[in-house]
Amino acid sequence: MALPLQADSRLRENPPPRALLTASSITKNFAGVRALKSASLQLLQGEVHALIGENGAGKSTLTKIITGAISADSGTLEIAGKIVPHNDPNIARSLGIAAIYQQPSLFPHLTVAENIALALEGESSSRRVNWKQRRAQATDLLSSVGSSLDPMRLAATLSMAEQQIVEIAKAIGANASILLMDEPTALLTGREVDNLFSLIYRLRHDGVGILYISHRLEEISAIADRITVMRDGETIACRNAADVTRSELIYLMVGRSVASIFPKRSVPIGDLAIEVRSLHNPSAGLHDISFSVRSGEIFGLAGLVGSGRTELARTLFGLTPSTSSIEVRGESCHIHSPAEAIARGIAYVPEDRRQHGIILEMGIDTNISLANLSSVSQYGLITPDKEATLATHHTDSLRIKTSSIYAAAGTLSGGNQQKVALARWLAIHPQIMILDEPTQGVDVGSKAEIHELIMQLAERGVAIILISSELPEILAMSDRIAVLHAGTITGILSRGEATQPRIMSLAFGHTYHDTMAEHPQ
Amino acid sequence: MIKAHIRELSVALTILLLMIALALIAPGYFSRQNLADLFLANAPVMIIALGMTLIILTGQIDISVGSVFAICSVVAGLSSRLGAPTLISAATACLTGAACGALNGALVGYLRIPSIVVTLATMVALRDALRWQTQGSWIGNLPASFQWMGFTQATYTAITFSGVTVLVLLTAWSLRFLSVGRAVFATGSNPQAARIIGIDTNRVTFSVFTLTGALTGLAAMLNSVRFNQIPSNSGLGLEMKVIAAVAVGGAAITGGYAAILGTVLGVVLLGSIGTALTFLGVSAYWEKAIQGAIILGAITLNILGSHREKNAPIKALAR
Amino acid sequence: MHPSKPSRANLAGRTSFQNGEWILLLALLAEAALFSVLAPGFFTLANLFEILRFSVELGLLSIALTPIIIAGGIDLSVGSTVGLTAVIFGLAWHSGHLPIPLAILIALLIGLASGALNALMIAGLRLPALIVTLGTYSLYRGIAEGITHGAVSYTGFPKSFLLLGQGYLWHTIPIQLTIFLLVAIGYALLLHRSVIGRALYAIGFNPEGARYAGIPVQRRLALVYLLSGIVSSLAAIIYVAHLGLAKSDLGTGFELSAIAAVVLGGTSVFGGRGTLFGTLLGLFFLSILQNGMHLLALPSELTGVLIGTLLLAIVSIDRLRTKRNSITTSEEKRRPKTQKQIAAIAALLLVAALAFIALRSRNNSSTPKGTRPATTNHRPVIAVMPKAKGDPYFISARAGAEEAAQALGIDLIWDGPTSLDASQQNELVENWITRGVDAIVVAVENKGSISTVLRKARQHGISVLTWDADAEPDARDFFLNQATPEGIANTLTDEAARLMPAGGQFAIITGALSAENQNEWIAYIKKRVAAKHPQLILSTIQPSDDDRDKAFTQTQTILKVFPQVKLIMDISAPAVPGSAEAVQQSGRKDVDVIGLSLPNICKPYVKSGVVQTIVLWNTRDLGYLTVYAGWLSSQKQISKEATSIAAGRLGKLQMRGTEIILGTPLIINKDNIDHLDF
Repeated sequence: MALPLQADSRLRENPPPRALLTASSITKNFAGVRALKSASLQLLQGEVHALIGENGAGKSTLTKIITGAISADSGTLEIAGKIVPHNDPNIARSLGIAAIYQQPSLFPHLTVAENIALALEGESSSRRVNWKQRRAQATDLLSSVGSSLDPMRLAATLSMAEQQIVEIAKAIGANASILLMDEPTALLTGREVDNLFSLIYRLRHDGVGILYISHRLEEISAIADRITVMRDGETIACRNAADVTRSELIYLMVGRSVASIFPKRSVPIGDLAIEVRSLHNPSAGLHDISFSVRSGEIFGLAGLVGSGRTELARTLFGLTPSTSSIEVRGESCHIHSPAEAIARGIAYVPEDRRQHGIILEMGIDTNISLANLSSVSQYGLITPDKEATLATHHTDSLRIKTSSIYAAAGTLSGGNQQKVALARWLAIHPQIMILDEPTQGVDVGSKAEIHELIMQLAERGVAIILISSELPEILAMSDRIAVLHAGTITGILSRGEATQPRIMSLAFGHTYHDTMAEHPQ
Repeated sequence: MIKAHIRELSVALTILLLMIALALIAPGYFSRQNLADLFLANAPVMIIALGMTLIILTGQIDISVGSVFAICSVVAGLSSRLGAPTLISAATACLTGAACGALNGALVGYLRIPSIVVTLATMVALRDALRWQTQGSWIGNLPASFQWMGFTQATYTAITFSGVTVLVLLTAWSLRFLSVGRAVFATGSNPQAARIIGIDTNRVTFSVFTLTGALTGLAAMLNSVRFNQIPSNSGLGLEMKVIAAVAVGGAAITGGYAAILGTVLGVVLLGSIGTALTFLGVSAYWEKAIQGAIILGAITLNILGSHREKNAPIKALAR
Repeated sequence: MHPSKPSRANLAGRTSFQNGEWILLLALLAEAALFSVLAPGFFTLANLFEILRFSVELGLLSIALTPIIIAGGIDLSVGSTVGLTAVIFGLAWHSGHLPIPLAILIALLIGLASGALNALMIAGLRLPALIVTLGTYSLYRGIAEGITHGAVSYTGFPKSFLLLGQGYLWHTIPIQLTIFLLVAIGYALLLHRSVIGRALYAIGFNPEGARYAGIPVQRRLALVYLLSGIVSSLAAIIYVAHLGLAKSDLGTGFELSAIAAVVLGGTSVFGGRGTLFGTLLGLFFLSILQNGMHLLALPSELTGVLIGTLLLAIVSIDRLRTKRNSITTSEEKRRPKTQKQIAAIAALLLVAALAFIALRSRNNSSTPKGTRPATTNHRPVIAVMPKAKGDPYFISARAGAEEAAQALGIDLIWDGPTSLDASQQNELVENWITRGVDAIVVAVENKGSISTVLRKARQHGISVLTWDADAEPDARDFFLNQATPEGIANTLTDEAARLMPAGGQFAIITGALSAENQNEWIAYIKKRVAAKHPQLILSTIQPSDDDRDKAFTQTQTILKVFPQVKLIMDISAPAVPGSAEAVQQSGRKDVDVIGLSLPNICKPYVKSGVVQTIVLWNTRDLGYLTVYAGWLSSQKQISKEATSIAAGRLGKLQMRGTEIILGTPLIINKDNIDHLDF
């Protein structure tokens, strides 16, 4: 399939490469808080330039200034050789900037084709809309990113991964000379990531400058040419990817060295905590699922996005109830609602932190007590002192960085938000804890803390079901790993058996037998 | 295709049932004269409902249209009494409406005050300001050319009918085939994403309110010329009629989804029920209760139809 | 787990008025201060309790709406629920002969049921609240109208029950205030202290997020709608006791006033933010505004204009205050109050004060100066109330009233509800008593409900007269009788019989189905037809809601559905031109229009022969008489034994007992219409 790119005008054979974008000494304040102290960045033609840093380091603010979503307080921004004093989304777009954000921002009521078209067609209000052309264009772009999505589907019906693919198609279609990617792989797995990377190589070859933001250091070392590190609103360093090691990068980001990333320790495995026998849930697309988890065990759930991992978690937690019964600590039961799940000691930290994990507008204290109001109340009335004590205890023990336990959870950084989401469920003293992508979009420091916490919980005898798309994480943390494909478990690997190729093989639907045969240790 | 238009279909079905009942019991309902009368009586609601559809599409609401309608009627009458030709009066009414709409639009779009608050305030304030100024007196002594805008009744009906039809088609067409129409959809569907791709959502909001104001002015003018004097308290409860019609027509009250076809069907259904019940011999005392029940019935059908849509993401994942 | 003591640093940042209620509190205080200075009788304990007493029904609805709006919903059906449960209560007591407590129980159950239907559709079927309650808004009011045929209003409740709405504890504290306080405390606990309230806030911010936290979202939502139904029915019972009548149109428009109070109180219509305290502040802000305006004798319409403007002003200030903090992030950070904001508030209050003073001077220029009774050369103040200010009939009467005030050199206050509203009439009379006028002349909307307050006025030494429609005879000094309902009905029916000598069908177009006057007339028309003109057949009665355009459509339909109808009888003033226009456009020369209306708005149709006859007395003369008789009465110049009085330019008018007779109805037709200008 041919790419609709006009590479000819951009492709320059001769070095030195031109600077596509230069940002120097950019500052930005929000309501008195310094988001950017002094950020400088240069993006060259035909390079993949990674931008890394902990959450709150200022990466998002800097990218927003580049795309014109917000304006800088001071500093200069030079795009395609021109100084842009007042950037806005239209100017940025006309200068050849396109962006893929971490959270897909599609129009749910519109079709895929139109979502792509709206982003590409300029703003002239009386222009005619050619639906046929839009559909053809969408089909082309989607297939160029290796997807066969129906362009006439409503965006509301897409999964998160599918939405991200549409976002990528949008950015490709913009024929941009500067492409910003903010955690583009956060929602993708396996094949989709490979597709994306080959696409990035192609674009780089065509002379596009790519600013790539990610927390996944292995990804960055695989794809980036140069790496800029940010910390506390400043650009700390810019290195060639070849010249820098991962631990160096982590040191630059965190400002200190972080010990072992995966603190796996062996824990005595206890009694059966939860057992599922041939679970069916047609409305969640699950069928014939059987597994069991013991207390103290970390049970990994792997699989491609859309394989049914999250749906399984939602079913166990009563969000999409099934008719099948499950056995919780020796008792057979049906779970129809989250309240029933909580009553049985099941906790669920969902994947989408901002939508489901916490309530952004509510305080840290009220977020933490929300699932466990009965413990801070008497006769149905909340006792503020008990609530404050509970919140303080968890903010202290999880080291949630905040000025006050009453601050809105939305004001915290991603990692601290995730800690609040975890604290809510620690407060109910769960026997079974389901963690859905607990470290997604979380900075390196917090990530290590969360891994340590998971380990401590297991040591306390909590049965843990860990869902993750990050294979190194799931391999390192889990005692056993179940791999899902198309709504059912294709195989369960013990810690000894589990390898990346085997997981991928099962995830693509091969049987346990074939997998073990094809991928010997 | 059927699935996409399930909401409109459910309204159409309700209308069909009503029509069958009428055809069996009171075929006189379908006389040419009655249909013409029904059209003239409901044309103002139809015109305002077009604007309201756009407002609801952007996720907003306007409950001040009844008060704006009254003001525009009085303004149209006053300017005609001062000797302005009817077209000038019509333009004045539209401009007055647009000004009121712009006030709402500015407060909602640029100050980001919730539209229900803004239009609740302007509804009360504008209505009472008009009462205060006119002290309830009617505008009479209008020039003879005011009624029917100087045409005969039949010609006027024909002109208005074609005019409203064109307006409906034009709105539907622009919503679908002009980028400005798609900007309205985008604003209602996901305002943040709309801003990212460079749509000035504040301006879109401001514009739909202003347009609805202008349309309300037009509706007020078309309603006024059916008579030879203008009461100063017209349009009481009009906002409820219009919003109910748009909602029954299947528009998502949270924005992002609405269809002009649905709105037309909603206006037809609610506009014909009142008279239809009289034709069917239902006592006037029960009319309001039956109207309420029909609204509830239609929206329940709507949602039952769209429940399938809600489950779609899960199915898509399972594939 | 070892609970650690909350560390001091982490507890910082909790403020008492998180939601910016202090803005409203300041505005409320400023408002009260302003009225204390300007309005006579405002700053008294009695007036304070009156304000509270009149806020109870609306207050209950506002309280019920607060958690609903906080949870991200809305309930437009509360006003209609008041009407429905009031009617059911009246029906149970009056027709069902049930004891009052049982009737109350049934009314509460009906309230619960109406809440349950909302809950079922919103929480159960997950339909949008705005549309569901828009539907039940019509449905509940419609059922109330259907049950009563709009006409029946239940009165004559026992004294012990009326105490609930009219009685005082220790002669100062209105009884219903205690119920209001109980409900308010209950809701405050529910919303701000209870586990359920916490869940409602979470749902308001993010219903999905709340579900993930194990909150039973649907059950919580269902609860607030159920409670709203019950509280609405409680408001209905208090309202019935307050007015002494149960009628299908009670609580019309309350939903919007209640929403206004809630929103003014800082509750976000997007859900999640708001407090009950804010709602109460919003409620009292509106109540005090209304009370102060009445005491200042400013016209009622201005209240609406001011409420609208202030609502926008207060919300805008709050918006501008928070907007700067949240340009890019959706999370709004609370920022300490700055000098600038205080300045903005001060500016707002200044503007409001200036507006008041400007309006006051305008008011004073239209009526002569010196409204305080304290001045030495005391000018009598006569307060005249129409049923509805916007009705053309009453507007034409006003001209006569102003003429009389001019001639006598006295002050006239002309004010009334902007649309038919028995409760507002009560409130105005209360405010006039507080203000201290010399005579009150009321066109009574509902006999049962207003008599209590009129008696109170008489106890305060104020002359009380009624016009257009009478109160209980012991509640007033004199009744200005323009024509009896029977006289009007007979004249109209006889005219119809004269126009249709061979008999035939006719149709009646009335005002609102629940309008008491019109229903009385219809009863007499039916009586007259049966007794004198059996050849006349009444085909149908249709409502016009006092709307010209609706009368027009109704007439068009009647002409088609009942082709034998040869005469349309309109008993609402704006309906006559509507019907006339419809008949004229239909081209039917064989259909006559008669009715009760004003010459000015019917002139073209009378002249063109579409309208044969309109029946009315001279409204200008009636208006003249209200002020003249009010003045005479306040000067003790009418003796109860007299058989006639001299009423200025009207000459000598006959008296029958305590009724002053204006004259017989005028029959207006082509021949005399040019001589009449009203």
